[in-house]
Amino acid sequence: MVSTSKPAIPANTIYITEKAASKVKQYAVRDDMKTFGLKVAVKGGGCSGLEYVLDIVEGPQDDDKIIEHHGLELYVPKKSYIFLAGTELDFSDGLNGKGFVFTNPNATRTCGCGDSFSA
Amino acid sequence: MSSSLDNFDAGYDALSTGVAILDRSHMGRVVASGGDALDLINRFSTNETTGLADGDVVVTVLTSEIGRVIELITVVRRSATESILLTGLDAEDTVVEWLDRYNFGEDCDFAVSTATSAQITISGPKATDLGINLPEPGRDITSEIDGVGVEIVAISGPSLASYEVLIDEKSQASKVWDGLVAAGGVPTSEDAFDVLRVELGLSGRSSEISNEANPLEAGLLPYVDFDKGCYMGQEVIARLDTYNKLQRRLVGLLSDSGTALSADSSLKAGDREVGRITSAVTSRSLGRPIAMAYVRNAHTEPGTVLESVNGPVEVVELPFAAAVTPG
Repeated sequence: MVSTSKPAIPANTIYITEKAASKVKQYAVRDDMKTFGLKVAVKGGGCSGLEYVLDIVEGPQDDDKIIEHHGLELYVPKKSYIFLAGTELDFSDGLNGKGFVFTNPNATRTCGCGDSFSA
Repeated sequence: MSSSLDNFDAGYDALSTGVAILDRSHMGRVVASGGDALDLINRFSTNETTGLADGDVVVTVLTSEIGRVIELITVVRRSATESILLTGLDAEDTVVEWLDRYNFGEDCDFAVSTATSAQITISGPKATDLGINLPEPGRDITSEIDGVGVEIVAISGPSLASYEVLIDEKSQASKVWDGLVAAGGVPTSEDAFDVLRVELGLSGRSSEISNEANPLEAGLLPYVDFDKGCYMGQEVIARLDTYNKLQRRLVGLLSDSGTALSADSSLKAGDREVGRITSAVTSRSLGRPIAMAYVRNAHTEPGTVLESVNGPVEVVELPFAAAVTPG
């Protein structure tokens, strides 16, 4: 029997879905980037204190943790990783889609727009 | 520096009709450096702190995710990469810890300078009689008092309007103090300052402005920018404002019996607690005990009598001067 339930994301990684990884690659190709990865970080801000940061960059910074899924490298600064471990990054498309969507088990409170959280 | 704490009346008169000076070196000061410092503060406080020019002064409120006051701070922009933050008593470490907690490698640093610097408050309607160069409200200038280079910051609220004289080297403070006294500044005390503040119904640090209140109920509406976008606590504060959801508000209280009232004590209507006294003083202009309190909306109608731990009290509108004619 094939299970249809969504697998849990291990707490020691950050997972990006195939759909989200594909979207990142599309943007990188559009911008003519030859080598690239996705910086996934948090910064102080938003209604709940912490905001997600996504940026397509050429390579990692010295202290970044590097995680690879679906042929895409994620670069996560160490201080951010504490707040992101176990997070899934998906992409919601369509007219009513939300774009990149974070499901973060560390978030104790999320603001209405979904871009900001407390941990 | 002498602050003549024994001369309450002279200090009160100077604050209300002349020019008073007060040593506020014990209040917190933090040097914020780095190109991202004001942007970070902007993301964690109620007022707009980006887009300022050098010498601009902005009062803003650091708030928690549930919209409660962390600390009221005055931001003084010295340059694109340096500002000074004025905080309340013993609040500077809290401010630094709060901002550092949310600094994820941005170009900013926050350093407490309270112990090495000094601060003198000038307040009163005749401040210009001192004959020193004073800034416009909301501005900061560099100046010289008795040969000592100082910074003078004009702050229009939320308490009594004041000019804050900032002295980088604490050892120079007594010279500046003596210069201000020689120019006609009358030493006053925190007690005199507090009595006039309560008479005018203005919120005070550590009393009305505390982490148990949100900025709207604490009388800090002028320091909330509803158009600036997201900051921590913004959703809660916007909702309170839009749907008029404040459950309590600040009122004045008069002691019916003339008995002094107790700050930080409860107010009851029957057996039910409906409010809390935040500031209590004996008014000099009214000659009787008065207080400010947070009271639940249903009990704020002027003339309502509530029970305090010191006996019955009558609810009046703030400021007291408009509510009561001195008898």
